[in-house]
Amino acid sequence: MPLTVVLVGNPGVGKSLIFNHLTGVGVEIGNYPGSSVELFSGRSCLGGEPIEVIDLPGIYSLDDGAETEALVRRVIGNDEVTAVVAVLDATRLERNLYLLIQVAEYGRPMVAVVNMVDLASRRGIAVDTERLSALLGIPVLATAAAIGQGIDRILPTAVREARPATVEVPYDHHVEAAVRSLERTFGVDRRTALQALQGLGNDPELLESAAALGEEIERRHRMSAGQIITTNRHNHAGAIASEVVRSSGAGVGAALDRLFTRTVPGVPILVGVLTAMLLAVFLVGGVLEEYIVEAFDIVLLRPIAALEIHPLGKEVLQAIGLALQSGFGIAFPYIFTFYILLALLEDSGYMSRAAFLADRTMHRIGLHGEAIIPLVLGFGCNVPAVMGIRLLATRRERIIASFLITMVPCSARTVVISGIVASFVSLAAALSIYAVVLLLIGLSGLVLSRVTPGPQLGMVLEMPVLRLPKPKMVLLKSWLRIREFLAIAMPLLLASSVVLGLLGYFGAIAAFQAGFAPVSEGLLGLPDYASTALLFGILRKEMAFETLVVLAGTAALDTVMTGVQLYTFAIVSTLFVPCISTIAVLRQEIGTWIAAAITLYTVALGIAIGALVHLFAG
Amino acid sequence: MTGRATEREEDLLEAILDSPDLDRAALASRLGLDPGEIALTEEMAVASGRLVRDGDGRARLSPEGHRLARRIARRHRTLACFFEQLGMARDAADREACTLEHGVSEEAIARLADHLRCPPRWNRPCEGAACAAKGDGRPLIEFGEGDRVCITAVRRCGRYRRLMDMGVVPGETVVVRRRLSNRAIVIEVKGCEIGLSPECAATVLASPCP
Repeated sequence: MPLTVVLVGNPGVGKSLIFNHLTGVGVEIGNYPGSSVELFSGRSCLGGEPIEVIDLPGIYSLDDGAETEALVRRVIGNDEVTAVVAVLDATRLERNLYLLIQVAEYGRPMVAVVNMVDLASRRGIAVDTERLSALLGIPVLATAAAIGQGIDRILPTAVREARPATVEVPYDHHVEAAVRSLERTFGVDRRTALQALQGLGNDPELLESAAALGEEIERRHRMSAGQIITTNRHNHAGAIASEVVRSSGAGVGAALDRLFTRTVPGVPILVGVLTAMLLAVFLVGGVLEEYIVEAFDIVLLRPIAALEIHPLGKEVLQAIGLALQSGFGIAFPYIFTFYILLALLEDSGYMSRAAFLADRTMHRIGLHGEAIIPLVLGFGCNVPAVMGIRLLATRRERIIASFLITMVPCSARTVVISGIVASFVSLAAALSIYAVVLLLIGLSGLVLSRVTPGPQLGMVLEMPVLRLPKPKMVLLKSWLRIREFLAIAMPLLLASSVVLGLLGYFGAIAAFQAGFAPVSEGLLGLPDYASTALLFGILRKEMAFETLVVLAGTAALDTVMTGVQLYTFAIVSTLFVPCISTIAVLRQEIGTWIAAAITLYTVALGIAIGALVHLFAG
Repeated sequence: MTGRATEREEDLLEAILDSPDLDRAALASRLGLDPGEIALTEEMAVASGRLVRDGDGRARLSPEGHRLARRIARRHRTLACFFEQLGMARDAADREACTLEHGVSEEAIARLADHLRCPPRWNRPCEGAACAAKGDGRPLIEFGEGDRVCITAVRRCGRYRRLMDMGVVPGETVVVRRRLSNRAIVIEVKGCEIGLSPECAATVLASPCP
């Protein structure tokens, strides 16, 4: 087991930046065994010895019942960890110390890093790290990760000088009595007893006794044991902070912020920002895509077409070439551009303002403001957007969000809409597809929020200070996301492309086309080959468009299909079935049943809407 | 023998739980019985193992008696709180609870307690909060922008754990920074701004800072 150093801290304290400084580029994203929460780990070394550095997800407290907090508890509780580095935000020291105090109760060797001292000093805040070190009983370093200051001392200090913290919270005497009683009766340590009093733990007998003691405490104090413990910790953190923080500046809140969190002009700004972002993605993506597709044609597809080998082998090679071409042709121009813009918004702190403003509207569709992030992510690609639902607090919200996200027109569907409707019908018609889809998302949300079981909790959201994003972090974040997309989507893309290629080779596609003809021709009023194009859309949505062009035998689609047919085709392929990668990630995140339900729902919805269009306009 | 406790026995256990040091006469006046009846009930409870005699002959709750007494006391609190929320006077609510506490099922109490903690719709007025999460004060959303207020209570529902971890705990001073028309608010607590959706804002009670 190599030396292991874990970083723990509140969200937004600059942990990731520090991690990035410590490990360079060799970052691995992995899941801790038995958990779907992601961990970043990377290698560094000190005096020739390798050190594994783990960046834990940002949390506010260890004593939360959620999965992320449970994971952090497990990692910190692991005896093999060499040192825990608690990263603190110098501008918000008091609340950050609250978490540190909880981590200290695990008795692991620790180091505290007071980050953002540059920002703090600009705002007139000074932290006395020597005094803090004496109060906590562990080494304390001052760093400014944004300018790389003090980072090089973190690992040497963590490996050589980390020690268990001596800071101890003086809890209310009833809580202390209960803790002692649990320690004696069950032979557990102080931390386990404190957690049991808050209802955390695995031992049912311990929890039952703790609940009884907790009720007794509640009867006396008219406050639950958890509330008392939390309050005691906050008070202790406040006492420490008041000894070490000297502040001469004013409070938080910039002038800009007044605009962002007001209904007016906040909401118009929000709508403007999101629209501008999507337009920028289309413009930049459209240009880049042409070059990438062209490049793949020249170096891969044409040479394959020119090969003189067995037609079966050629079919497979062609399928692989097509999958690569469209994977990269979509991923980089559209999704990567989108991720960069999104990371800019996130790192500037704007997204939490957006979430706050959107909360009211999102509430109507059974979600909270936080869900705006995965929903907006969905415009880039549904796959990472579905992964983003892990951030949501309840299963109810995750179910609703996964339905709605799969309906969001991702960049591949945008290719279909712009390639077919905007090019051959009209721009207004193309925009009307967006309007229809967004309306359907809203209606589905209204219905889902009524039929999905489970409680609707509120939203508590920290508003980080607005700041200029760091280009390097933005690129890194976007890169990690696109890598995740490639890792999940690419293998599936390749496999399913080959399968479809083989099906076509052995004539199964023709059979499908014949079988689906009643729906395609009768219900939707589309030519029979359109059903095959729709089928290929399951692989990747924009393949519906490409296949249609191939099967129609001409790129001038308006010569073989009417405007209404083109419109119907585009709207059906936009709604109908999430792509195979999305289905896979849905299954992973929310379970087979819900994934199947979503798939069926979108198929039914797509065909129904297509039939309506055909009925009234065809 | 440990049969089902009588109503009178339950009342006695509850009274002993509340004030373990009352003597027979005090218990009798409190429960509106005469000391002879108290003695008889005590004997029955001792026989059923819910009370035990300590060195000087005083009746103490056995672990089993303690559990039962706690259960009854919880039923009483929950019912009384409910009636108070419905607008009954405290005394009347207490009397009503005393009668009903012996017959009501555990499930009904559990559901009632959940309901009191978290009314199903967030926009329901929360006068009852003082009862569910003891404290005075008004919901945070009733204060204006720029007001500096003291948190008096946080109701234990929804995301109260996250609220507490962010520092929204009784006794903390916070500043209301922003108030939207939909009753969502932004507050400054411990030097950080946090946004609360209406249903969360409604669970926090506060009073103006002295």
